[in-house]
Amino acid sequence: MNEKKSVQNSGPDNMYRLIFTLVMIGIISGFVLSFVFQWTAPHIEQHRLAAQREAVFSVLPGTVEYEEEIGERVVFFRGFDEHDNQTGVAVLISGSGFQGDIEIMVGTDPRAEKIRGIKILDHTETPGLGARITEQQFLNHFEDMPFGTYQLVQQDPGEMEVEGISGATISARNVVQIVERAVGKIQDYTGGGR
Amino acid sequence: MYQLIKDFKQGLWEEHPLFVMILGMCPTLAVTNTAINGLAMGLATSFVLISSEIVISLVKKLIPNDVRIPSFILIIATFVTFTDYFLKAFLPDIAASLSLFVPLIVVNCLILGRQESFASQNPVHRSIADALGMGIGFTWGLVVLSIIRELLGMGSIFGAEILGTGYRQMIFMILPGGAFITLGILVGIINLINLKRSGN
Amino acid sequence: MELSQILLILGSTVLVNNFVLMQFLGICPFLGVSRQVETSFSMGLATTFVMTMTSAATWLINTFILEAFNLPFLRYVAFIIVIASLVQFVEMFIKNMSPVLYKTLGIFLPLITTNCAILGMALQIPMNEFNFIESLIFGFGAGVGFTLAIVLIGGLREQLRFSDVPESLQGAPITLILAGIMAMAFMGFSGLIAM
Repeated sequence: MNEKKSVQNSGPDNMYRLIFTLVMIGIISGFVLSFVFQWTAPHIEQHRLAAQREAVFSVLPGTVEYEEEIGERVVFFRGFDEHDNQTGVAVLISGSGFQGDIEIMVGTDPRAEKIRGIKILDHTETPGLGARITEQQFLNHFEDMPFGTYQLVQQDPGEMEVEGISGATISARNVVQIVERAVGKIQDYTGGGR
Repeated sequence: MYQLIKDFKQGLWEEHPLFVMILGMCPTLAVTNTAINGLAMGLATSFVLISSEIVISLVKKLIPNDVRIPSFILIIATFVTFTDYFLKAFLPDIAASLSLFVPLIVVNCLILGRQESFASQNPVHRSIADALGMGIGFTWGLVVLSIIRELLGMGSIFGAEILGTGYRQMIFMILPGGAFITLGILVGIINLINLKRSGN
Repeated sequence: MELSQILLILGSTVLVNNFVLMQFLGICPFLGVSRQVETSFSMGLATTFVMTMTSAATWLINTFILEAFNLPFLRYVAFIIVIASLVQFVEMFIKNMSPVLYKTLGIFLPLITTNCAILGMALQIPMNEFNFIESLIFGFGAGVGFTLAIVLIGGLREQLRFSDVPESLQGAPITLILAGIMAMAFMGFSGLIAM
């Protein structure tokens, strides 16, 4: 310690000392952070799983438990109610939004070829604008929608139409596209109306 | 003791980080769309500010002058990472609202600025006072700005509906444009107050 | 690498998702260094240079170290070290290579380390899962967008010298208000390109 103090006041600092200081700080920092990571990782995972559970339950109403199956860049969930009947198949899918990726849980009834509901799990859209895709009013449009392609309209949506959100046209359009892709994945997965 | 109170008070108004020193602008504009976000960001930043000032004030003699800026940044980055993971683990909703701006606390010029101009040259107890004052100042600034934006932009404060459902929201306030203009006017008002006070 | 993909990324970073006016990054230098077009342009140039190199360097570190060894918690620390070091090297390099260039750009360089736009840009690269080339273009575009914003506001501020700005609004307030109007204008670009 004393040696360091005296060096400090004499001339330009030794290159080795500069590097040593930075490396030491780096090592201590890395050590502390890996500890923090280990401490918090289980909690973070817990939240993620809880959110996923809640999402599956909300897009496949009546579900009390589900089975997971990992697909290609997506995850499928088969829901079962208390009588062990299938409540539907949901898929967790990601796609690009206006600002970043949007993660959506799409719940479907593959036999009736209808969407049961959707839930937005993660996004980085603009707060107050694109972020409004999480509003129930928008999400409700997807309930009971038959499989297929959808159009975004200003108001009074018809059969295969979804009412857009003012100021969030792109985010809404991206959600529609992602949902269409999700439907495609489900159809492939269930081999068409299982 | 008197010195400590002085150190603490400066950040609250005279040397207000936002309105006077104009530091820490990025999160101010981005995360003040709702009052709860503004408050959360202010507290998170204050936490990093206080912890970094304490650590740097304690180890200032060990850090060679030439590498002080990178060293400060490293220490700050460590606390920010801690804050980020802590929020994600225990306050996930807040973490989601603040998202990218938590890591950006690393480059918040306010924090680095205080290390350079205060913590690295003053003892720990004074650094704590300084950090507390600056942190509270920063936080109240954010909260005022976000209350204005949330009230006019969404009709609520901290999520509680104030202006009723009949209120036509001024979405503009939540958008980037509104943020800039509101902050500009606020700084202008505070400048006006300070000018009048110094007997203009 | 299709031209359309390149244009998409550029269009997004420069206009639609302009880092300063839409994403609120890089505000400190935006307010602090923009009194004249000339200084604004120099700052923009230096920033673009650093940003492009940062995007490359952080992509490499992220891919070959952070993700390879599963160390996501070291991301902020690693990235900021990269940025700080890059700025240091760039400064030394320019100082030695061209004293003239150093005179114009040099003083801005240390400020760039704390430019939140650089770290913000670097962190968005893993988020978007870009490959190396896409990252480069992204970093370059972010710099161009920043330069555009800072030059525009610099031009406006130069014009302000001929206006009668009330004392309380001089400096930061009027710049912020101008920036707000500019941000409104830039909102017109949204929808132009969907990333």
